[in-house]
Order: sequence, then C-alpha cells, then structure tokens
Amino acid sequence: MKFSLLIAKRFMLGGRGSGASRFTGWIAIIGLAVGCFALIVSVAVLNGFEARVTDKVVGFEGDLRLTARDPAIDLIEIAAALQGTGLVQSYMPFMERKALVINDFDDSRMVTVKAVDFSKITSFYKLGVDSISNNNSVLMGLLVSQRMNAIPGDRVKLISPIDMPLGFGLPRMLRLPIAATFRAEVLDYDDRMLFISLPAGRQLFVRKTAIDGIDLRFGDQQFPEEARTRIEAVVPTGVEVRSWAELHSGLFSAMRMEKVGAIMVLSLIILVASFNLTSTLALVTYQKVREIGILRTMGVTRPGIRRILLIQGLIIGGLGAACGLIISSALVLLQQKTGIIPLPTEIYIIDSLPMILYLQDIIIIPLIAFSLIILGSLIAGNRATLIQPKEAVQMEK
Amino acid sequence: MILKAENITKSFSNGQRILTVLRGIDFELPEGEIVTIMGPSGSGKSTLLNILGTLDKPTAGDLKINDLDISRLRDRELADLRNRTIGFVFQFHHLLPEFSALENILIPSLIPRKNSNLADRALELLDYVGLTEWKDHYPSELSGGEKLRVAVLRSLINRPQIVLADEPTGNLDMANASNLIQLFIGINRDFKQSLVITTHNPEVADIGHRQFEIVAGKLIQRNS
Ligand SMILES: Nc1ncnc2c1ncn2[C@@H]1O[C@H](COP(=O)(O)OP(=O)(O)OP(=O)(O)O)[C@@H](O)[C@H]1O
Ligand SMILES: [Mg+2]
Repeated sequence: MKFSLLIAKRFMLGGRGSGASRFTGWIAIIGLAVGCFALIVSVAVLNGFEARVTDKVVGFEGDLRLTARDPAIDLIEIAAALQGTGLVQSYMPFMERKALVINDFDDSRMVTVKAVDFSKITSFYKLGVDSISNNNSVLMGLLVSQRMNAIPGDRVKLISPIDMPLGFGLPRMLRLPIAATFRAEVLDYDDRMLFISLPAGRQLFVRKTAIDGIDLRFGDQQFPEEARTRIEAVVPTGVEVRSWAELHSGLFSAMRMEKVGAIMVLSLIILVASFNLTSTLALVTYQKVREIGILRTMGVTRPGIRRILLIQGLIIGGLGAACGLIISSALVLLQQKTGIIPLPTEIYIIDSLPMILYLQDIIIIPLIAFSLIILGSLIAGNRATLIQPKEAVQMEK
Repeated sequence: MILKAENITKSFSNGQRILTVLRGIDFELPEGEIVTIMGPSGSGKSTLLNILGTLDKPTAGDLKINDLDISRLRDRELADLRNRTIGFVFQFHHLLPEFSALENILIPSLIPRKNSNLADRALELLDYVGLTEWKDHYPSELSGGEKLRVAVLRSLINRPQIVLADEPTGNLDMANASNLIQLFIGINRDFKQSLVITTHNPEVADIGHRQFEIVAGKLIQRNS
C-alpha cells in the first residue's frame, strides 16, 4: 500500500515529461468539481424549498392530526392528557366541512370551512393574523376574499348544503362578518379555506355529532419522529395519528421524487467526469507502459498495478470532488448566514434562496462521487493489468 | 541447482503460420556461474530469457527454480518469486525516470508487504560501482553507462539467486561495455552471483563459464 502510494504519486498524471495526461487530468478534476458542486447546491435548494413548504403546511395544520374512527372516543380528553405529559405543547379541536360562501351580490363559492377554537386560533396556527376579537366571525383566505369582493367588516353568508335539519327544507345558514383575512402561502389554502369558531361550527354543521379531529403541536425540544412514536404508543386504539406528510402524501412524495431525480440526473455529470478520469488514467498507463512492465518484472502483481492506478484515480478524483464539495458547502453556509442570493419576493414570498444540507446528503453525495471515481479508476486499472511485461521491456527508450 | 529447464519448446503463431523458436532446450544453472548465450538476431535469446525469468510461459517443457515447478505457481507466487529470486537487466536500462538513482535501486526492496530497509546496502552497492556521488541524480542526469550500472545494482538489491541480463551492452559504446563486463565479473567473483547474459558482443560472451549459442532453436555449448 505504501509502495503503491509512492509509485502512484510519482507517476501522477504521467510523471516526468507528461503533457497530454496533465491536460485531461485537469479536465477530469474540473468535471468532478462541477458535478459535486451542482449536486450539493441543487439538493440544498430543494431541501430549502421543501423545508419552507413543510414549515408552512405545519404552521397551517399542526405537527400531527388525531382522528377517531369511533365518534364515541373523546379526542379532547386524549389531547388534554397528552398535553399533561408534556409530549404535546398545544392542541386544537376542529370540525371541517365543505360549505358555500355567498356575498351580498349573491356571488357564491364552494370553500372548506374549518371550525376551531377562536380563543387559541392565532397562537396555534400561523396565519399572519394578530388576534380576533369577535368570536362570531369569519377568518377568510385572502384569495377567497378577493374573489368574493369582500373585505374585513363585510358580512357573508355560509351555507352547509349537507346539514339540512329534519322537517325543514332549507339547509343551515349563518351570516357572519369577516374578522380578517389570512395568507397561508402554501398549497391552495388561501383560495379555499375559511375559519369559524367552534360554536358557530356547531350551529352550521348540525348533523355533526362530534369534532372531526384534533391538530397537535409538539414542544420545541421534541424530535418529530420520536414524539410521534411516543404519542402513537399512548393513544387508545381507534385513534389515528397522521403527520402532514401522510395527510399530503402526494405533495410529500412529489418533493421526494424531485430530489431523487435531481440527484440521479446530476450524478450523470460526475459519471461523465469519471469517464474523463478513466481516459486520463488510460493515457497515464499508455505513457507508463514500460515502467509498469518493469515493475511487473520486479515482482509487482497485477492487483498491485491496479492499486497504483486506483490510488492515482482517487487522488485526482478526490481533489476534484473535494473542491466541488467544499466550495458548494461553503456557498450553502454563506447563503444561510447572509442570504446573498436574493429571490424576487413577488413570486417566491421569501426574499433569499433557501439552502439546507442534511447529514444524509453530506454522506450520500460524496459516496456517489467516490463510487463513480473508484469505478472509473478500476476500469483504467484493469486495462493496465493487461500489460505484458515481456513486451513492455522490449520497448526502446 | 538453482534453475533447471527441461525440454523447453516455444512456438508463436502469427495467423496461419506457426513459428517454433525454441525446440527442446535443456538448461541448468548452478550457483555462482556465469552463462552467456549468443545467437543471431531473431534466434530466440530474449524468448529463452523471458521463459527462464517466468515472464513468458513455454509451449512445452518444464522449468524448476529451486525445485519449484513454475507452471504450478499462481500469479501472486510468481511475482513473489521474481521479486526475491530473479533480477533483470535489460538493454534499455528501464530505470523509473521519477526516481533518483538510489531510489531506483531500492524499488525492488519496497515491493513486498514486509520489506526491510536496504538503504545501507544500496549505498554500499553504489559505492561498489563508484557512483556514490550520483545517488541523488535522476536517470535523465546520468550517462548511458551509468544508467546501466544503476540498473544492474537494482537487479542485485534483493540478493537474487539469478540475474538475467538481455543484451546489456547492446546500447553501449566500447568503453562503457567493458566497464559493464568488469562489473559482471566483479559481482560474480565478490558476491558469487549467478548470471545468465545474452549478447551479440563476443567480449561479453567470453566471460561465461559456459558459453552457448542458439542454433535452430537448440542450445549449443561453444566452450567446454
Ligand atoms: N510475441 C511474439 N509473437 C510472435 N513472434 C514472436 C513473438 N516474440 C518473438 N517472436 C519471434 O520469435 C523470434 C525470436 O525472438 P527473440 O526476441 O527471442 O530474438 P532474439 O534472439 O532476442 O533477437 P535479438 O538479438 O534481435 O534481440 C523472432 O523471430 C521473433 O519475431
Ligand atoms: Mg533479444
């Protein structure tokens, strides 16, 4: 190993009097650096946006949702008990149903009405609304209010078509003032959600006998996965625990797929750069046929020759990959600290490009890079083992 | 007997034609002997030396080195044998250009996993040929004769039982050639080194205790 390293270093890029392999060697190094850079930066950006989306969704819905299969189960009691153990910081019971919202000009829209505890609403959900004084009012998605041509203070009618009380032919209707509008800035919530208070919900959804579920929020010190398993362990059977990722599995898996796809496509850059490395090492082999042959006559085995080229490939490739990985990670850190790469706020809501690297990325990406570097070096190394010493030593100086 | 070859035959096939270069050669090398082999160009001197040095396999025949049947050895064992038992010298010195004279001499000693530090021995050898001052020179900074002497020292570093030299003087002028001849005589006398040398040069051939010629694929002794 020490010997292989010594030879690999001295034979680096063809050793003395090389030219061509030095040139292709640098191209391979640059290619690997670019590939690793692109991979790290894109994964960091995808992570960044994913975290933004997750943050917004969780802000709008809570960390976990409890629902009961049996209406007899008292979810509020369970949630209060969880809060008592400290597993859960706060909880929010809700009822939810499709309803029709109608303005004074009789424009109507189908929306989702979520009835929640108005006393906690602004602290539990991140809606960008400070407080709501009037319990008997509507908190309306900004886009809904724009489409309905209604501003805070205006009154709207809410009709729940399903909730027709027995005997009467007309469904339930409430007429409530708009207390405020909110911006969730994620999914289409702003365009289809209204909040009302639980008492108002009970009036509107007369056919509902119990709440539909409870949104939970973890304490700050909790690891979401750990908290979740502990909660699942204590809730009685018949209570379902679901995270935002399960509630929005389409969105969640789309973001995952996007990341996997980006990694696969950008790995192709590294693959091509590794092939550059292969041809560089093949060139080195070609320049060093005589020396490789003479080493074989002196007792270096075929695996020994392969090892020399592998080490050389790892040094060259490692240099390229390390450059790419270090520069890109530094960029990610810089962006996290200073936010020097701006985003147009009108489109993206946030003012600078979000970049996040997780431990798994810091492991997987170098692993991909080095696997491909090793692959490329072994291809060249195997060719070098085919050199026949008896032919190599006949070559003239 | 360090080396024993029996009935060595070697044929090459170039397409349709089969060229038989060696036709049943028997050869033994005792310890401490210089053997020289002459023969016209293309007679098979290099071919024979490559077979004796385990760089090539005979088409038929047996080769035993230290009573070890070479055909039974695996790649790694052959490499090990070459490293410890055989030293090679070629017409073209084949020194590694990235290493100094001293480093070049030491290379065979660095190859085994468990290697011993032979730097002192290498310096002694350099002193033996009067090249101490050139120890840190790179091959490009050495003359043809100096390069060949360094190559000979490299073949000696692991104290091999056999040194095989294929036309070592082929590329040297008269003065350097006789210098090298003296070196061969010296290492044979001082270190009891066995040598097999192929050559076109009658002066080189003359130093053989036994002197052979390859004629029509057979090895024929010239002296007695
Ligand atoms: N790999 C090979 N394939 C086909 N023919 C070969 C091969 N190697 C050697 N030969 C042939 O075998 C014959 C002997 O070659 P060899 O190199 O042993 O000759 P030599 O005696 O060393 O000649 P020289 O004095 O010129 O070095 C030549 O005719 C050569 O063309
Ligand atoms: Mg020859």
